[in-house]
Amino acid sequence: MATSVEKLKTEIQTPVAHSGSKVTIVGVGQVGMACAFSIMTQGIASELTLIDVMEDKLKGELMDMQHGLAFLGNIKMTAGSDYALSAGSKLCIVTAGARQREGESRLNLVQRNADILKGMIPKLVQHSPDTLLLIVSNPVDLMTYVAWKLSGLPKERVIGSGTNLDSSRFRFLLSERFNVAPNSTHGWIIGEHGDSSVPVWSGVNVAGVRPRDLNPAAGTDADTENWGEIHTQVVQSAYEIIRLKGYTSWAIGLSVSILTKAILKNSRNVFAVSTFVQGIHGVEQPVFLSVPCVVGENGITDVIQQTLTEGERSQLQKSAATLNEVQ
Amino acid sequence: MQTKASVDTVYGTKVTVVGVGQVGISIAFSIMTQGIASEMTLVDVMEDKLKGELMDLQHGLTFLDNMKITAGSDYALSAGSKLCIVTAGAQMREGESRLDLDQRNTNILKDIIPKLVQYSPDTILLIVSDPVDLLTYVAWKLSGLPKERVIGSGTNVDSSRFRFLLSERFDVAPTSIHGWIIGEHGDSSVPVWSGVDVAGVRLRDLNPAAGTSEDTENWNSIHRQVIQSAYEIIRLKGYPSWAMALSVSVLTRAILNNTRNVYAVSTFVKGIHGVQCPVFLSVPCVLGENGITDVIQQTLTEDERTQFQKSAETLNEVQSNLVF
Repeated sequence: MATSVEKLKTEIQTPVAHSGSKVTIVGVGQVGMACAFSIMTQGIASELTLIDVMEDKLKGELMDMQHGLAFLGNIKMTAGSDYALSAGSKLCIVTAGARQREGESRLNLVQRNADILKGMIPKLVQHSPDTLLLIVSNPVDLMTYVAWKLSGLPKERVIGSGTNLDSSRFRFLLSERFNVAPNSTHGWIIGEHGDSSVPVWSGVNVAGVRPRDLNPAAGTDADTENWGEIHTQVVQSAYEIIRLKGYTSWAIGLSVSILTKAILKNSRNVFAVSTFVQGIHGVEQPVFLSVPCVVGENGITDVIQQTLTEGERSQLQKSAATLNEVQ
Repeated sequence: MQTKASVDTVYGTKVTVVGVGQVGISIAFSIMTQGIASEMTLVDVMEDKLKGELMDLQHGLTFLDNMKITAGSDYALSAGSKLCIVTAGAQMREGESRLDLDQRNTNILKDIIPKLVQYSPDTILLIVSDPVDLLTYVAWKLSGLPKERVIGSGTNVDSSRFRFLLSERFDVAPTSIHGWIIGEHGDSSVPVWSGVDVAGVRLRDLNPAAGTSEDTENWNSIHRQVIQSAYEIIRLKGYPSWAMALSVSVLTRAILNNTRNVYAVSTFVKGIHGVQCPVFLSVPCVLGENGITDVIQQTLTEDERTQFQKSAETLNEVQSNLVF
């Protein structure tokens, strides 16, 4: 006897196994889940796979997200520890990584994280040979380099979330001073994500009007308005938020989802993301640092050449030298 | 820069969320990413957590349409809210009786509700804290607001879980499957099998025994799964957040935009489906800017009516033991 489902539906053809815009997220900690929920609520992907080692947590998060689907456009979601689930992904987002232990050296943390990526990256590429990789795990510039080396992919297809988030924090803090919407305030932070990031003051503007035009000393040591303090706040932000609420999640989730959207929709927007910068701004080493990049379906297609001051250039080169040493 | 005119929030859509636990903050993020409100205030007692969450949310604003977000422990921040969402509540302690827990939650609401209404006399209250039907009643009593303006998130999320699980069996999108769970949010919710359909084709037309004890296809297991869901999710990941957040954000949108969509939310049901006690239970309601404007009268089976009335009686008994 036919079941109710068979009576209801007459099949015309088999549905596709994997839809066009499939995204895999590796790591379902606070950052990974914030990325997942951001992508889901903004209707960015048609299929989402979560991968981690904690089976229970994966299952619980999957169920919880699926139970909200009646309120959104449908999206196919799967979760598990088997990388075969990630097959057919256009983009794989890697958030998994170790956190710095008390008294642990930076170098030691890097080695631990490199080992974690060794277990991950080859499997992702094996199951989705045409995928792009978006690395979020910290220290992101180093991890993006490691992921690139492990993946065998062309460098344009391995991207680090980099200073996209720092730039967003920068623009928000600038927007508070200017009292206009954050996305009407423009400003770029480049270089190394974190303590030694580089704010490009010549590019900061509202409606094309630069603080440097209104205050030529803006961002320098001679600046009486202390615009430089905003950059300091950006650098402090992550530590501050971790101190206050235990971890950061929402802003990085949004940063990653906007990059995801640009890639999946080939929108060719410009974002500050970590890319291979040997030959850029006088960098001689084979390292990844953030510069404004045009992002599309095949990864990074162009790098925007900003005119940096002598100070900004040397900071970038210094970060490159440090990274190269660790690598 | 030239200043043209000073700006204060006079018009616009302001929402307050009380409680920044997992549910509250997920609701906030859900509202934010879907561009549902133009202003949002988070209120709680934990100042550090509030500040950290506020900063983290604000740092994502360049990727979204701008909205004003504030946070603090002072209810004055909530002034001018069109909608106040209450997620704050106590969790059951070891060995605590249900009545004691209910009284503790009543006391918590005593501290919250009057302040919200004081600062936003025209607001609508959306209660999420569990047990939601009981606490919506408590909130109503404490608020002095007309009953149409005090709403419980109720079985909106149960219905969403129901629709998702049905969609897995039917292999169509969850939004293309219709199904309603009403009554008490949780263990004794009532699935209205006569209302389950895809493209207007009712499950009961395909299988007249669907949902009954004679059902060979065992559709009832889906309702049992819905009830188990919350416990299962808590066991697996520690707490539920995402589905609840989406449930509440979609109710928020309906209220702020006066969409007049229909959702299963907890409302005053004395006089509905034969209920005689003054209690709040979920039925499909039309939601708008002024709260609940209509209740959809479903045709329930004798069984469904009885279950509904039984929940009402149980709730009424608990309510009568509370001290306000």
